[in-house]
Amino acid sequence: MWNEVYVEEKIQGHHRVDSILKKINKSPILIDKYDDIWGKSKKPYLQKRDSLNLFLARKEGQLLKLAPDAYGSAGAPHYYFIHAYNCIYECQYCYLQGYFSTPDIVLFINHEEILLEMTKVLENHSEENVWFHAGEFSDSLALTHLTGELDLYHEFCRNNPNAIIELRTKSVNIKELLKLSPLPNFIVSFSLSPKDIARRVDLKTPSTESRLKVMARLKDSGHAVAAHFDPIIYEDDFKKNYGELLKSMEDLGLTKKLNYLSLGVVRFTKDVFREVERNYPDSVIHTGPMVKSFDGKVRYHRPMRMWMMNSVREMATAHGVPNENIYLCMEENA
Amino acid sequence: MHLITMAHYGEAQGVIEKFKLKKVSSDLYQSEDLVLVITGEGPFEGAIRTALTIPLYKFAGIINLGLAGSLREDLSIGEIVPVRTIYLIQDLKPQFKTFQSHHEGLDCLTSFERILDPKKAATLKGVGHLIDREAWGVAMAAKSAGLPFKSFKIISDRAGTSDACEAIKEVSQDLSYKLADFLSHELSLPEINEDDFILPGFHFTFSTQHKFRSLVQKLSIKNEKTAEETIHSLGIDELKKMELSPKERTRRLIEKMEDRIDPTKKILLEKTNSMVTAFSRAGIKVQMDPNWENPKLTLSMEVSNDRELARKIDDLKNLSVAPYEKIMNGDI
Repeated sequence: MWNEVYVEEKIQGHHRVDSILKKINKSPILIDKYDDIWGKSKKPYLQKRDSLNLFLARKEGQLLKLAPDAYGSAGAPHYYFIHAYNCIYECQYCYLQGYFSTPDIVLFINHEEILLEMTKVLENHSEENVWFHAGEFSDSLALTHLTGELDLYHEFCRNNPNAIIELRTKSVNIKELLKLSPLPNFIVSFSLSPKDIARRVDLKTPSTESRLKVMARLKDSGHAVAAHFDPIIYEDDFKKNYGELLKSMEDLGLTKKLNYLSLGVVRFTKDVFREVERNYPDSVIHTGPMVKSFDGKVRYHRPMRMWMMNSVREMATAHGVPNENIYLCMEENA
Repeated sequence: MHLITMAHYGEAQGVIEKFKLKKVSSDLYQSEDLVLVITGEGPFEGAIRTALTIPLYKFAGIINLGLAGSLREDLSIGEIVPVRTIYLIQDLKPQFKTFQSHHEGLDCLTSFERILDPKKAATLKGVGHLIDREAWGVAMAAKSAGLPFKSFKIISDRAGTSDACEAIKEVSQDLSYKLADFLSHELSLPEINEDDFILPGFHFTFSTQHKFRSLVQKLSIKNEKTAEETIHSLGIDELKKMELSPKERTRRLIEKMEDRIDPTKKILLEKTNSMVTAFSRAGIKVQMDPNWENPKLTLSMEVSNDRELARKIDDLKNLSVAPYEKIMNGDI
């Protein structure tokens, strides 16, 4: 899977580094700082298919970032924490393809420092819940069998009931998660699309059916789960397809148990849109009526995306998702 | 005419002989179809010599050919590979700007220094597969001049070995002739031209033709069909039977295709039509965002006296923008 593995000299011998190297069974190349090489040059995104490198590093600088408005459910501060850069999957709409100048993956190993920052944030918000999201720059479960940090964040949630951690994922890699006891403030959220559109745009990811299966398994084990229908992509029969997806979720007993369901219609910054056009010129994404929208992002025109979100919202409530658990993500007036 | 760039005379010998190139100056050779420039070693040398040669002739494209050290063990000496991405390496660190030569192939690192130390070679293994000394500079000159650029490398040695230079000397003549044969084959490839566009009974201008092609492509992608299947599904025969001018027929065909891409557009226009008409009857012009993004409408009117103004204000009281508000909130 990995073309080469680079390790920062200063973390050589760290127990987490040793553990990862042992599992991937590859000799590392030692370097001074990961960003001496990672992101230094413009490496075309699709080269991840045949020359994906792994960097093990210590994250310096900002470990937590305040999330933008309308990122998560309203009424509480939202932060995301940075445990990794880039992803093993290849979703055609992924903003990472225009965000970093390389698709190579960085795994940060200083989770204790991230948790210390999270503790500091909690001290400033002792009276309210604070959300911490993982998965902004990488899938938060896909590599947990290698990285082994989940128990640290789980322990943090156990000790801090007003901290809510969200692990955003498309992965079915729940082995490490199932070893942990369920906590209401340790939520695994799955990004889902109807099976046909997922097949066309969520490349190299587990199928929608597989994601639903593991979601149900987690739910049955008592774990808190949530879902993101984001991005919603237009197809002529999108209503039928979302209806089927919601029916499958209802049959698995998921709709009533979702902590929340977020809805967002496909959108891009101008730069990412250009990258998507370059990387996936034959993608179904380009067949919809995209315009430059209120915030400069490229989206479907307003009536269309409002219609799509309203339609999916109505269907979701009809299939048992409580209306108050649904929020619109990254949309004006959300 | 093509411009061929190579770093050393030794590498270029085969090309000079095979294509019977005549010496123009110490580093420039020419035939009827080909110009060869010997750039010298180094990214700056590659860029400068190429940039100085470009204005001398009218080139269709630039091909960089030459030797490269391999950072991978699975490549054989003498193998010729297309270069995919070209990186510039300074002090063992990749620099930001990269250039694309082919969609597929191996990645080449143009280094300011010769990589003779195995430790240095190991550090670069994750960045690319090959090391050369000039391709990045040639690519920069080609891209700056807006000329198509391709690079092919022949594997000459293992990068990171101290005796690499000696090893290259021994095989350079053979490699040079291999490169010449390869170039001969490469230049003989026929160019692929798009078929002329013909659809009897329709009249396409340059822009409608472009629009039609783009819509066929979009619909084919959307419905996972071939272009032929998409065109077949458009009911072209029915349109042909209609008593229409070829121009009008084309307009309807394109409209039909646009409806299939965005079925909401027609609905939006229909739903706002009666509102716009009502305002228009009162002499008030309604301007909506053509991109259907801005939820605000612009109303404008002309008046020449107070009586006319009062009448239009009265009319406005009885008019409503609710249909627009509704559709902007997704009620379509």
